[in-house]
Amino acid sequence: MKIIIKKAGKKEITKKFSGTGKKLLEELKINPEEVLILKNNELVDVDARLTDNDNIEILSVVSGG
Amino acid sequence: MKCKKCKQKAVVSGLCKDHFVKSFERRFYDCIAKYKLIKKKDKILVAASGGKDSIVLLYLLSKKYKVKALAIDEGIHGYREQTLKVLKEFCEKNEIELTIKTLKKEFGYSLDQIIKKTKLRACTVCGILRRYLLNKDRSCDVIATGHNLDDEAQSILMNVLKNQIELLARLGPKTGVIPKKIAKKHFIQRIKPMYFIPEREIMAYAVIKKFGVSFTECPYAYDSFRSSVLEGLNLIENKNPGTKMNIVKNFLSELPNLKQKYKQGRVGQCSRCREPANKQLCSACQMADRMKKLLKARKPL
Ligand code: SF4
Ligand SMILES: [Zn+2]
Ligand SMILES: [Zn+2]
Repeated sequence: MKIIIKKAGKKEITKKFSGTGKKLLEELKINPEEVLILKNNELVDVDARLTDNDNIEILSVVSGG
Repeated sequence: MKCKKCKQKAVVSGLCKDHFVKSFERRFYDCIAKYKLIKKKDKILVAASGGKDSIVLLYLLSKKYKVKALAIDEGIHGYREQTLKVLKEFCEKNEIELTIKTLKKEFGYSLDQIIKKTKLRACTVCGILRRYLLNKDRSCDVIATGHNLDDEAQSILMNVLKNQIELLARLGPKTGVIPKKIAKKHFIQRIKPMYFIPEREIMAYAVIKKFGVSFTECPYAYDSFRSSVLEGLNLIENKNPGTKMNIVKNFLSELPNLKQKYKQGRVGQCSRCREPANKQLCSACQMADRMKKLLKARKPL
């Protein structure tokens, strides 16, 4: 799974994963309260199931400045 | 998970896209009505930065009211260019009048230059000069800012944790503790229409509406105390949803008492620029004097 994390710039990681968004965030040590998840360019709930073929974007909702 | 109101998939806060957008907009306009933030004929100036909060604010206000946008370009390299680009494109597309004032032009130096040459804290200088330029605009009746539920809950908590209870009286959906009669001459009402909307939902709305959002962060953004409060609050909210709202509601029930207790005394005028001031000079003119000394500049700031 390709994961792009957008927070003050962009970070790209590749990771084997399938499970819920919540689980993914837990593994990445990210608080669900601070991000949104896009699955293949669509906003999804943290309970949504993600598979290894999905393109995932994790958007930080916390602004600075 | 299904939407609480229909059979579609929920995408945020237990609602599908359509129901979320409806609920979001209803809460936005309800806040304006409940706290009488805007009168029918008010000319509204939106303090815009190009971040998601100000874009969503501009979008929703411009649907129902006459608005203009004012942005301050502090001159922060690698950051402000990007958010201003988003803002310019947005305003063009939505036919909103946009004015951009630069610190360089208004004060002689960009924020980057000031910080490089002095040891002043960026956010202190930035805050004072920005407030000054906003206050100076007398073409409007109210100034709307993009403060959201998270911002407010953080500020409340910060003042409590720092034992600065008197500063709480300055918060709220409509700010200013200056008596109305004087306020008319000296101080334009500030309003926060997104007062009850969590930051996460504002981003969700911006994503659903496909507004461009820039993910750059101000290089000076280093209020470590605010960051720890933000982080802590989000951890609690994640385990106990509704915490931020509880903090804000609790505060609002005490606000009338706080305002009464910490009524601001007489507000004078700055002897140099006629802006509101507690001392002889307003904080911006004091800041300008300090900068002048530190920069040893011949050119007046
Ligand atoms: S983080 Fe500080 S310096 Fe940067 S825009 Fe905000 S107030 Fe100004
Ligand atoms: Zn629905
Ligand atoms: Zn002054």
